[in-house]
Amino acid sequence: MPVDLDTFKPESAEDFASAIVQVVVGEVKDLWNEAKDTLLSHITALATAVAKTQERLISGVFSEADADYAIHQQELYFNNILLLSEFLPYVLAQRILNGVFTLINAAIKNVTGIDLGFGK
Amino acid sequence: MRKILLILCLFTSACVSFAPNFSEDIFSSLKKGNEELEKIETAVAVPYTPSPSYKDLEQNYISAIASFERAKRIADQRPPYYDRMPAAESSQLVASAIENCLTAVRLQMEQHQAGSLSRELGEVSPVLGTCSIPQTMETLLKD
Repeated sequence: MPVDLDTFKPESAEDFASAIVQVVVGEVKDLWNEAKDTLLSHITALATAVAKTQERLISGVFSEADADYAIHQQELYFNNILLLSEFLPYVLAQRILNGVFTLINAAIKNVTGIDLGFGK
Repeated sequence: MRKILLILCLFTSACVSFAPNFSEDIFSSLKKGNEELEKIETAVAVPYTPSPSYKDLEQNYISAIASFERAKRIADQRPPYYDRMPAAESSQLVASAIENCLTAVRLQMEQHQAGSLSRELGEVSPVLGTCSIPQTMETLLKD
């Protein structure tokens, strides 16, 4: 996080606002970096499985029942990939909330010396 | 009255909660289930032996399902706990993902039991991927 919490002493509303923006930007970046590769690799794996199933059904390696089973499994996988992408915005909102409260706490602590323990 | 509420909010900083707290219990149960599942998938994927029979792996199936069911039980308690907060929705997403994973494992178990799980079929049935997702979700809560 670019804001130094130990020394953060906002002197105006603008100071405070720009620090909050920095917190938000930092959280968005962090989560995106964490989630991007995971999501991409899941989608690639799913696409590969679908393509291979198709191929093997055509070439007769799989019976219709086999393909039916495989597609059912892929459907469950796809469902979970969707659930994961639905889940990410909640995580982001929570992290931003915690981050902003930590910032408010730091500002109050650095100005008044009282630690209220927000955002912990 | 409003002021009192605001102060209370500030002190708890949890009037609104978007995501549930990380649960070590759920996480370790999911991890254990996935480890068992990895053993099954590896055994099915080994190319040079005759495919392992269902009997060889029955214990692994049982212990994987038991762990995922344990995770599901704990995860099911979270949405009511976060009653009317956004965190109720997000914790429901985790519980649903575990449910999908359980369905996938049971389905593969039946397929295996019926003797029709070949290596080629195992390769295109991403059960491990399905079950790794709830664990990823719980990890994201760790912060």
